[in-house]
Amino acid sequence: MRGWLAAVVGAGALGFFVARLTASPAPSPAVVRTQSPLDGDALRADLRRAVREELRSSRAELLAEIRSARETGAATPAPAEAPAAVPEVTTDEPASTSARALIARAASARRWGEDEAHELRRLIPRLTLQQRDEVLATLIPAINRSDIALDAVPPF
Amino acid sequence: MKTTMRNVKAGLAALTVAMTAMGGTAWAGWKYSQDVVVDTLGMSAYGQMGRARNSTDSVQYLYCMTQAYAGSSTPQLLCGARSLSAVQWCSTREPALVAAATGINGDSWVSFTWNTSGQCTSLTVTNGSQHEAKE
Repeated sequence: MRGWLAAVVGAGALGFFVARLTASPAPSPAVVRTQSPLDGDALRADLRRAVREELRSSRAELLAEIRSARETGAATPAPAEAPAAVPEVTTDEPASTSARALIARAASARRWGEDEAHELRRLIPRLTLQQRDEVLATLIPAINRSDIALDAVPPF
Repeated sequence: MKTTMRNVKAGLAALTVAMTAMGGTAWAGWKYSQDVVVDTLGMSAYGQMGRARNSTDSVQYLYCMTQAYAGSSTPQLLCGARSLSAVQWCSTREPALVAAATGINGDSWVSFTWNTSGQCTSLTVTNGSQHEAKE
């Protein structure tokens, strides 16, 4: 996309200056020159104006293409840097951190009660599959080894 | 002839008495009750949902849950069992085990096994008239 835009802008700018050198000396209504035709400041201003016009024009063309593609049901071109895959579940780093901290606290206290179960139930849906597996692979063996003692209620 | 009829009547009466005496057991069907057992060395647990529920100890339980998430094709199964002396849990995303868990109801006999990683390695579900029903 960037290369295409650069090409359009470059071609436009070049065309603009060729036209300026070969065209009649009559000034454009939008360009009021008070100095000689080879004045540097005027040239820079002209260049800026030309680039802006080309960019505006290119953007309008691009938007029109996208609009047309949507209307005809064609797929919009994917951005070059689109992510390769959408995660299965929205990753929430703080949730996984909280889950690990919850288990670490339980391991330290050697106890897992209703509060911890409630907290885990809240966190688990916000974890990715991998994070969920990691949490369960830590907690369950600890329960089974009696490193973490369960209260009367089920832990999940 | 009279004697014969009397004998038949007596026989029928005896049969009726005998059937009444036996009937309480024979006609009610086979019954089987099983408290929750957790074998930590054998890494297996089993028991009856109804029996665990009806027990008077308020300790034992059998528990299996499946969790499904939007966007995820693999539900999670968690099973746990608590006896009077031990508690063990396992989890898995193995589709066959998750599918087996859907057969559990309130009167099922359930058995599961696990490995040292806490992964469930089998799940057996039995539904039969012999199992104690929840009261």
